[in-house]
Amino acid sequence: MIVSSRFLLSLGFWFLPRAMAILLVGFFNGSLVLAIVQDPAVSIVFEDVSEQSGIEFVHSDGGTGKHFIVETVCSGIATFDYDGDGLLDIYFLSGSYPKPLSDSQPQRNRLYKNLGNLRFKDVTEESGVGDHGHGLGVAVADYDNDGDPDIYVSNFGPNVFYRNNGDGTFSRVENAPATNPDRSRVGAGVAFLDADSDGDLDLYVGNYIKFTYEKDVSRLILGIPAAPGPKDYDPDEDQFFRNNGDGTFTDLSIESGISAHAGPSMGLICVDYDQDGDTDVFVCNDSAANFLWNNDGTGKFTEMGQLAGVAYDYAGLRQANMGVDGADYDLDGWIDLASTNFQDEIPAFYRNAEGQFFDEIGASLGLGVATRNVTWGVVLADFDRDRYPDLFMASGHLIDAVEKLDSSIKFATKNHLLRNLGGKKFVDVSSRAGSGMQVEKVSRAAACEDLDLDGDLDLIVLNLNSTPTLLRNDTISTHHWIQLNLIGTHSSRDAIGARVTIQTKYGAQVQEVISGRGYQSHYGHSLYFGVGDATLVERIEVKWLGGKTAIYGPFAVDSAQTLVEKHDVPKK
Amino acid sequence: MFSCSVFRVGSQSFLHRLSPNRVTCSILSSGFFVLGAFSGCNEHSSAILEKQPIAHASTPKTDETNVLDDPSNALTENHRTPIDDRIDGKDEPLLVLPEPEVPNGNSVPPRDMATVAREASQYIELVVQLFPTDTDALEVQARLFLLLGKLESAKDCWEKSLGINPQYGYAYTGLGMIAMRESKYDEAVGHLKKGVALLPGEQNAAHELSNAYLRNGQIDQAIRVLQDQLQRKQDAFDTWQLLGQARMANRDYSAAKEAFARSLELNPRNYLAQQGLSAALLRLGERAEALKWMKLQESGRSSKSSSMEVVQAAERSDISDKLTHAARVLLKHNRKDLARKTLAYARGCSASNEESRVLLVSLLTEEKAYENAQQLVAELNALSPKNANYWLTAGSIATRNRQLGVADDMLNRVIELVPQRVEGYLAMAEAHILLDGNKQKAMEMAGKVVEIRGTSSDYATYAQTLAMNNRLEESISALEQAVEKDPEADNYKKILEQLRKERSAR
Repeated sequence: MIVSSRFLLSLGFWFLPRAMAILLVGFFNGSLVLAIVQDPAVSIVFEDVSEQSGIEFVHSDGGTGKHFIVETVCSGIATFDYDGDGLLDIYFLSGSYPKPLSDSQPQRNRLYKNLGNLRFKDVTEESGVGDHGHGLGVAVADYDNDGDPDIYVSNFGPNVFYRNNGDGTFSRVENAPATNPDRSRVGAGVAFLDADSDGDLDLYVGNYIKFTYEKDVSRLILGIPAAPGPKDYDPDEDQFFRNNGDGTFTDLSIESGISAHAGPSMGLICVDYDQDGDTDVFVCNDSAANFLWNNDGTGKFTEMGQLAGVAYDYAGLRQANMGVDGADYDLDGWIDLASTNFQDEIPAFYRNAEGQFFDEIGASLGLGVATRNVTWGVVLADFDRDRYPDLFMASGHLIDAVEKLDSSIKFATKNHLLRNLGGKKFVDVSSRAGSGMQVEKVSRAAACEDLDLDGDLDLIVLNLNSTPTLLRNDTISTHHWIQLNLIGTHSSRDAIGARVTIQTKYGAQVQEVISGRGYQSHYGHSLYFGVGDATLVERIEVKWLGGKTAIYGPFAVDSAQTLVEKHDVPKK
Repeated sequence: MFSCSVFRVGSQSFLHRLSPNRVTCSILSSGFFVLGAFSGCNEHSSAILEKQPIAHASTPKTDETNVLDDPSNALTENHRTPIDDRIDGKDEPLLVLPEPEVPNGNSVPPRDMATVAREASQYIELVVQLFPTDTDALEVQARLFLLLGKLESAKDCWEKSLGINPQYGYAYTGLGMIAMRESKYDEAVGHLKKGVALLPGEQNAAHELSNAYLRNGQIDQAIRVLQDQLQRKQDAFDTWQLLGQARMANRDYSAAKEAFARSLELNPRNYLAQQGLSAALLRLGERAEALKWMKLQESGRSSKSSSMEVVQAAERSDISDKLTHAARVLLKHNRKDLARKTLAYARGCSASNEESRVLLVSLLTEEKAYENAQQLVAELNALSPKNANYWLTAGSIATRNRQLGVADDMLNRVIELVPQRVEGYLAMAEAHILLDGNKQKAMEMAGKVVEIRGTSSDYATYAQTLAMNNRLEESISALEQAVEKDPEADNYKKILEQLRKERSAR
């Protein structure tokens, strides 16, 4: 017997979320049998296309097998268009140790040029970015405002600054203070921001712990070798470097207030969480209270983590926070933060309560599904273009023999994909989200971009001691999108810190231009908005850093637009 | 990045059921007449003593009393199985147990943790093989499996338990914990709800259930579980703290503030409640008060990892606890031989496991192995120097071992620690009567008991010591007091009659 959808509606099924569809299966023993399945039109699907991508990079943690803490924290990843051909390229960091400590071949970072259609070519040698330090964090921005992206890499050891020559090659900036040339620090996340809104990009450098090989701490759990934790070492201070506007930087870590607090930093993100017109910094600390550096607009910072409610989880516990991403998950106009962490910790979700406080609501949002694994890379992005940012978390344990300690946990594991249900809840859709979500590796960093220019967001995942996973977004959806590239003229050319509000028939959606995010990574310089079934973006408002606002549009959906800085509305 | 506690078993409910305090006291209570004096075996003995009724034994037991005959230990079952024969060497050995340390030193087994874990597993496996239908044995084994990360094996044990006794609540709690580990929160909630229903007083089961709800995003349900728990036990500071946290997750800041404040009334040093209270206050706009609590909570947190030695000691302690509970199961079945071996290994595993030492003292005393028992009580005294019960035990064993000087020292410590309690004086009186005939001292001590407590039996004891000191009039007077306080005490009346006759005869 066939029952019409009208009949089903009459039964009251109309109230089911839009994302759900009901398939009538039939009658069984006199009872109506229904199967409720995800609407194929909006199911998120990622296919693993790593093998055919041409990416042969194999990450190394250094390969000593000695469980040094710097081997476990792993490297970041960056996506950016290094050669200006309109396709986003991928830069992989790798660990590497001095020869006396390892028999493995010296590893180096690798840059892969996007050839289109998710095919890539290794251009490390010709581009000159193959640093073989122990790579940890990376951020990309046009720090000299010359129209091409430059790269900053934080290492265990001196950091590296690559200046883009504009011809597909890079020059290493030697002995710059910002590279800590004579200091051996354990790097972490890094980010470019214009802290004083003067139109050139400053640099926030996270540092993890004070470690040397001589200070190595051995750890055993029930007799099983494990890496030590951050609390086995003293935490390090982060650094802040002001861009002098002439291609040089000055270390203002003390003057800015940043060095006043030491913490084992990992991922970080720079956003204007309180919408006071300047860029603030959130720093994940590993097994310590997170930092929230509130900017007074001149590049002086005050640590507000506890006061703002982002230092701990909902229970007041310190978490081992790893990576962080920011997006307005409930479309209330405020940027919220999602942070990954250790096994048995519920991934933290800090809901921004109008810039005054954050409420840690990971549990009530349904992030508890990911508590059994250590999670690292994190992406809050709209994979199904329904306007609400979904959540991807890269996962993998840090104890290689963890299965001997807990048979329910694996070293290599699947990543997590949680779909945002209208800003109310996240649901785990990993198991039905295609082959890409079934890959089991020891994942760390993740980045998200429309790599094949097909109008949806793909993922690239860096895996410990392995090849990366390239996930093509094969979501079938009738929803639309718009992508925005901002070019600053008075503010920094990359428009880092600009706040963009798009208006569709459904209302407003907000994003900021960010450099450095996730797990010690960089991605998403171009802003990607899913707009549901809206067919027009009626208006776009850009608040350029420095306080000037401009209005753009209307624009057709399913298009990429470039917005050049202009000043329609006088500065307040 | 990680803490070793991640791999430790969170739940201790079963351990509490086999209760260190209960075990300690019940075992000690039957050994000597003074041993039963203290029913609290906590470090803060005097506080506990105030809470617990004291059972005064007017008739001293002799050291011939079988300490394990105490009905509270339920050591009644004594059946043999074919496995027993194998253990006793009548057949092929079933398992070669590692040799435990002899109880004469503070050393721990010089083995790495992996070996200790394996050997402990052997001990507990043997208990399960001996008593395969004993759910307590299966529970201990499941807990060890859980500790060692063998989830499937733990699950098997709990499922077997439920096959034997479908109402065995601990098994549901255990299965719920495993489901939690596997991120199967719906399943966890199902098991834990049954556990809570079957074990309504078990705080741990309720906490686990609320945690499962939280992880499943069901905050309202978590709050309800915690509220129910607080109906049963209103003074549980950690339940109030969890309720505050759940309220925070629900953004109900006023209710959260109230819950955290209640938790802090019950335990002012609870830094999680301090942190929670500061967060709630901030959201309620009470910034100055919030800052005060924020500062306070920081001092309660450790910023450094525990040393490897501390971590390993904790691991050994966990395993040692499991072995001790396995020994309790053996004692329940009257398998003292194997229990003693198991306890000796448990003691060797952990330098801080008091319960294994207490049980060993009991067994060794029964065997009149006083020197070894004294060695162990010395360890207990070192671990909990303020526990008057341990000093009392030491004094009593010294009395049995005819070491008056030692007994004097030990019992004087008892009197110093709890001068307003009678047990030290009674034990001292006993020691002097038994060992040096110092009737004067015995009389003084009994007099002190009358002064402090003055029950019928206290007067009777005092009368006895007065009589021993040829103070007949005073003895009669004391006994009259005893009879006045307990007119039903026919034995006192008979003795009083005899004493009066003796007075008349004089």
